[in-house]
Amino acid sequence: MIGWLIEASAKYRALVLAAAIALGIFGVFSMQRVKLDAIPDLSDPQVIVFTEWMGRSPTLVEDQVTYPLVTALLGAPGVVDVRGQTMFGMSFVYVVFAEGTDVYWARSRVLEYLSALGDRLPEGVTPRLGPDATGIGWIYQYALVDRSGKLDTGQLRTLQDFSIRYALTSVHGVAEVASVGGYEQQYQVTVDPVRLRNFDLTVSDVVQAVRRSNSDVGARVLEMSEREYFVRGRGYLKRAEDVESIVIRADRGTPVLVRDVGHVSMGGDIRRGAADFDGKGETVSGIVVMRYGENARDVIGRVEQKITELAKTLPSGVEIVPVYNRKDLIERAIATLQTALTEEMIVVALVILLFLLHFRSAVLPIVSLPLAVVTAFIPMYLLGIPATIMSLGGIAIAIGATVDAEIVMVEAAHKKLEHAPKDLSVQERARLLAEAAREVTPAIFFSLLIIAVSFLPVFGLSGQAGRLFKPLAYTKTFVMLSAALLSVTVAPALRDALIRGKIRPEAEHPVSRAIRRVYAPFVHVALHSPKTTVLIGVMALVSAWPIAQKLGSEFMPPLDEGDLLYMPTTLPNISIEEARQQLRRQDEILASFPEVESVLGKIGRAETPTDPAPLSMVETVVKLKPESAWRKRPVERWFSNTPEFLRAPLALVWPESRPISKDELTAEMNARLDLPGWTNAFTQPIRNRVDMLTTGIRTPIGIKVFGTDLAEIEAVGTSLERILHDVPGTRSVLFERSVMGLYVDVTPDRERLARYGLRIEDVNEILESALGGVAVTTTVEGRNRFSVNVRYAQDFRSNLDAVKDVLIPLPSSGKDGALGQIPLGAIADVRVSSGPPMIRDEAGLLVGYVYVDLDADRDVGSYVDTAKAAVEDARSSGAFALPPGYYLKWTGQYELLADMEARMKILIPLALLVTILLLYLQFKNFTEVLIVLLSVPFALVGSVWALHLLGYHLSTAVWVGTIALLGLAAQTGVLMIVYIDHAYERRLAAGRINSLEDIIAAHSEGTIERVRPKLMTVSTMLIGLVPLLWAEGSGADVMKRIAAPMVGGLITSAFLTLEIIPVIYTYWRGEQLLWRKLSERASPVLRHLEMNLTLIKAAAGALSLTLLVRLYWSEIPGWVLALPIWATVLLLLGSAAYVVIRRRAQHELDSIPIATAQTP
Amino acid sequence: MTSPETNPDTPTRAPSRRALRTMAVVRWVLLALVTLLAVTSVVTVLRSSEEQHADHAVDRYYCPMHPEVRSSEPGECPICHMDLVPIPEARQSTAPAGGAHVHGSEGVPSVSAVSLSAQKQEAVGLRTSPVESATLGDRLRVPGVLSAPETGRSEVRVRAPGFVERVAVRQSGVKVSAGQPLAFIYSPDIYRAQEEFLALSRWNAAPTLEGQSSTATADMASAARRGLELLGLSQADIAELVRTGEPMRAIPVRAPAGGFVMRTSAVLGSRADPEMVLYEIADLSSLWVIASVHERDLAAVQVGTTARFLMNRPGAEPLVGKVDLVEPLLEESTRSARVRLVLKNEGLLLRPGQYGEVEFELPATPGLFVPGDAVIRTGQYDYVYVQTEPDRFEPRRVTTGSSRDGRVQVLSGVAAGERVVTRGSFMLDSESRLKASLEAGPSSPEAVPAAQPAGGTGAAGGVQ
Repeated sequence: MIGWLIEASAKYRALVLAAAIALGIFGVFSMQRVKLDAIPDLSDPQVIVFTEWMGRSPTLVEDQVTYPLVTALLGAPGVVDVRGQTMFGMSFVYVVFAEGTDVYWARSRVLEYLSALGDRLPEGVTPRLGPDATGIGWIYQYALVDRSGKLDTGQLRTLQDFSIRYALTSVHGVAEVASVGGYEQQYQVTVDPVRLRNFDLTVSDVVQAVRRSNSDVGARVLEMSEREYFVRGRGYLKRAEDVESIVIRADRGTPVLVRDVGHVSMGGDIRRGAADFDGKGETVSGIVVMRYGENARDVIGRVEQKITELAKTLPSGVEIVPVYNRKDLIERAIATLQTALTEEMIVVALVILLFLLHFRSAVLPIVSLPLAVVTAFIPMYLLGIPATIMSLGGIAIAIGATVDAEIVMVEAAHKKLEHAPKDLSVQERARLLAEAAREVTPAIFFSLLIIAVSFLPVFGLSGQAGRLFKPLAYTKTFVMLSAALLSVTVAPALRDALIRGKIRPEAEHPVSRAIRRVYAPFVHVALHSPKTTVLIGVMALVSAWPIAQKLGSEFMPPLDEGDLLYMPTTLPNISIEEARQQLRRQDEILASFPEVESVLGKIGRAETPTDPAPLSMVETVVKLKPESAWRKRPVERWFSNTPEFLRAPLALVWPESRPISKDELTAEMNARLDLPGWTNAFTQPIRNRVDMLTTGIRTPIGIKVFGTDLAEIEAVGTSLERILHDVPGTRSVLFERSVMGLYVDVTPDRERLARYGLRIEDVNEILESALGGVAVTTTVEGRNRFSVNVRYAQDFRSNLDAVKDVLIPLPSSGKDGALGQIPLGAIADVRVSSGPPMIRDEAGLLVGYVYVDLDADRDVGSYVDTAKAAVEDARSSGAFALPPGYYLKWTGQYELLADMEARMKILIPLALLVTILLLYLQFKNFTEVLIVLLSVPFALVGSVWALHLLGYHLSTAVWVGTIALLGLAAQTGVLMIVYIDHAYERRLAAGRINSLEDIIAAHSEGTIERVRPKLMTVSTMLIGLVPLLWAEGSGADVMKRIAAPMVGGLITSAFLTLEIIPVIYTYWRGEQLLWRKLSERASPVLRHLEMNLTLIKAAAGALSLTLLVRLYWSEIPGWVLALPIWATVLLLLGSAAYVVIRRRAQHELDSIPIATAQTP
Repeated sequence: MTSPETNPDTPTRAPSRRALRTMAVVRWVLLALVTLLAVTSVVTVLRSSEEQHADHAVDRYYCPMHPEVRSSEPGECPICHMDLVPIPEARQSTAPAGGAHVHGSEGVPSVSAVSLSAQKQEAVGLRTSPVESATLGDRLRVPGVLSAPETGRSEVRVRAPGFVERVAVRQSGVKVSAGQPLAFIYSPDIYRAQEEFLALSRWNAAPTLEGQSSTATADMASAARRGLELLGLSQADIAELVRTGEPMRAIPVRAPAGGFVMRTSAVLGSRADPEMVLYEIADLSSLWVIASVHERDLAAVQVGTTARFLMNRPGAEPLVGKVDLVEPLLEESTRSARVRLVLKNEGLLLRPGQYGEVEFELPATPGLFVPGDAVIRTGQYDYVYVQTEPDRFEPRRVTTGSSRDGRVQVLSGVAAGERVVTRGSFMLDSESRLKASLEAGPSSPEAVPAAQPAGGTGAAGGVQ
């Protein structure tokens, strides 16, 4: 079929070329429209339900808001997990949907279930859906800076909230613009309780009065003199004076106004976050949050454009200063990869030119390379896969392999043509070319398919790793597939036109000759001394084994984002004022570094549901200057001690100073920021958002303790810590305690309340409004909206004693008709207590997490069983007890890992099976397939060493690189065998294979004569990856980790394939020859050998089968466990027997050499 | 399939012997190198795993967000996946030198002593203040209202029914002096009594034939005079009556005492009955302040306690008085008793009905005091940070008494003259807890700092 396709393409050349041009145009079109971002969105399909109930303590919000919400949402379809998180005045409910759920579908389900909630929430509390975005969508951040000094932060915040925010939200692709810092202005009515009492008023009276004094109405129209006039009643509060003049009560014409009992001012609303710019004091900042699946770069472009427009409309002196702009990173990352891609293409083209020394022929691979890349963008565009570091990386690691088909074909054509007569007719030449194509193209087509198929397991990755690497797998597969397709269509179509002119014979080719000068003796020696050859391979494997054990592991490879994020943490109960001062102090220090361009500190949270940061957490974006502006560090060079005139020119080549490195910079910052009470952390903006995103357990094992009481849960958690600590294999176990949050508990004494006829509500109402302050109404002033808050004056709520003095009005009046009021302290117990600053709620119960980390070599499945048994033992022995209604849930990454493992159990064998099938289709011989696969372990040796030498940890990126390598390694093996086979078959057909020497000669020819195509493919793959290794800049680090095992592996696999495979192959052929001779002679030894081989095969089959069974069969009976041992014993015995019998057979053959010689 | 002309079938030229020999050497070298590599890698890995076991005990890295997560080697936090960072030296767990850690009854769990360099003290804005031994009085602030003293009130009434003929003081709020005519009343009874008196006076003044009768008439005249007096005529009015000899149609009603007219119901032409209060006059030269003191505070307020009255008026000077009376009864509905002060109303600045605050000076008690900000309350423990050395701060558990004027009395835990941290205590406390949690072993669950369940029992912060 493939042959037919190749023939057809060569025949209908114009048609194929037209199709290719169309494909190219569509590809370029797709390339320009594909979405751009730095990294793929790693978030689960989740919907955040955010509820604000400002001023309420976590426990209260948990009981009244989070719990009803969580329970209501549990039943929604497609929901995997509902996690509640309650903080002061806020409730976050994360509804996590099954992977692959459409976010907008999920959102409407959540809304549906929210509507069923009815009136289960407190009055005035409305849950709302978070934006259709996640924290990773924080693409742009700016600070509002007032150079004129006229506006205070409240006014700046008003400007931000009511002008800039809405203008930016309207930009296409922006989900939300979150404000942080400054304070939301509000009218604050601070009332004096003593005066209230004097007028016999209560706070509620004031609240009522204000509430009823702020409205506009409409009253239809008046028709006068044939015109209609709209009637409106105007009564919005507009100024502080308006509020002050609100009447609370009038006594015989003497009104009691708000100003009589308190005063009104414009002040700041309560806030859970503050911002600071460059340590110069409070600022107002905005964060632009991008919608899911948008093109980040375009969105930022539009935002920037909008900001330029807005800048003209701002009050003079006010500026919007960008402090974080993901566009820089995206552009840097894309540029890094673009550079790498371009370099790869150039290098590959150079390699091809060098090896062929024939420009016209080189045009074919050089043309098809960009075409394959561009074609890959078509499915990307159609499937909506954004161009990110990962997806472009997929292309980058594929580039080397894309041209293999063309190279091999062109090389084969050259080989055919080099000895052809000069005056070759066009038809004759075409026939030769077609023949060359027929010989090699199917093999290379299959190896391209193998490269594509071997990547199958990457699609089985799930969770964040899946979201991170699937785009890469997709694009790599796209490139490979398009390369495979082009190799059987465009390449044959073009070859007749391009491969013409004078072809230099390989023997005259300088590069080929140089290679052969080295390689020919190499192969000769290798083939003649097989034992050392195999020993070198075995030793290489041995050297890699311990190193592989030692490689560390990491979740996500580092990505240099350019900007820094300083993220210190302190105790949760810090007050906003202290937080502000500390933040300013930190920013001052950071801003004093000459490398720092700007510092935008944020403490607490921005006003967006995508930010659940507590007040104790600082997230400061440190924007660095370009590296050229960094301080220089002197570098000791070999010539540093020479006189100046010598040093100057040398320094041009080896500069005597280098910019301070980022690690050194952060280390310095860390040292300077060693502030008491803070734990420092330096991370990067996107990385941090990714880390913050996951709310679940990320250790291999986690135990969720579900219950109803936090104290009990903690008791259970700590005893679990103790029990699991002693379970073998536990590396660490930790119950996450809630760190001290402080509460002032006001507990009314019901007996005393009863005596005064008070009800709890009476007390709470006053407590809420007098201490907490209630937002009474919202003023409408043009576009601006401000809330009006009524509260006791500061003096009357500043300390515990003041709280105790809060007056509670009594229902009955006093002697002279005066309103009786009683201090709170007289009827309630006021005390400080500790409690949780944050509460988790899952599945409607409170929950505590126990994190368990395992030793690296401990099997998770059996560990869980052992650990569960340990807990059960403790329970039955009474050392551990679960209160009724409490339960444990064993969870953690191992669920995901188990899930992934289950998928891998299918995918990896499937990939292997398909690979073997493809190889079998090519070779029609199982042993040859096994020999090809031999290149895989040798490739791994190189990867391990490369990782070790570069100091890389094992991460998913590394695994992906390794998986990619396996396909390449197999391809090298395929090519080797194909060429050896060609030589061998030809000689066999000519009847010239009669001894081991003949085989060696044939194989020498197959390896040495065809070293050029093999080296060409390996070097294009290898050299194609090298630009990734030396790439610098954003995004390079991830790619380096993928490329490193590939480069290392290619080097060793190339070397070992060139050496070991011919050796093994030769001796296998030798064995075949022996058998053939024996059968010619009808020797009885052959039967022994055959039987012996069957035994060996059976034993090997049993061994691999039993090993496989252990993978898929969870409960293995003892006898199955023993089977591999028996099989191994059998295998060894069989092999030993084979060696003995074989020696006898050889002896038999050698003893009558003449007879053999006479036979033919 | 292979045609002879395309396959020249060049036999592979055997490489030269020299090349083969060189290559053989190269291969042996290669084998030696690979073997060496294999051996070294096995050996180094074995050795390093031994070393790892050796220094496993020291934790040198921690998670900045979860300080309880510690490790001897760099890695990731199991909870938040952030990279572990080196523990700063100041927080490295040190062997507890004797007395360096606070233990026993005075100790506070999960905090520990902290050393801070002067520079760091400056960074957190640390301020200390000495524990003062002082005698500080407390103050009690309650709302109070000014009222006209009951002692200075007077009412003006007619003593016989009549009609208001003329009104001299037509409105309330006017200041009147004692004896000033307020209104003029025509009362038939009084008029008759005047005539009677005049007649009797004339009769008495006429020469009589018998001496007896003259004494009788004199008696009658003085009785009539007394009658007039009892009907409310003043001496001056009677003298006037005698002088003119004509009965007054409308007799003046005079103010019985000086003061302010509080209320008037004298309307021209209206009928005035004795039941009717024509004028109410209050003497405001001194005023009462009625403060209501809740029963729990009553014990502290006694007759003679100094109190200050502060009007609800910007810039008002407080007025000092003394408690004049504590009413014996509690008002049932408010559970408070009325406490009275008397204030001189100089310049008549005070007005009855005015509201204000009364501040009682409570008896002073001697004790140790620290600024209120120094005390950290967790609900279970109250503690302060004591500066034991210039750069060392130690948490000390204290029991607190009442608070006075921003200061808290410390009943135990600190000695006079010790310096306690008053500002920057949050960061100090945070540092201290961090350090304490790092000192506790990671794998000994009991030692890890834990927020105790809400509503603990050690109610040092609770006040009934």
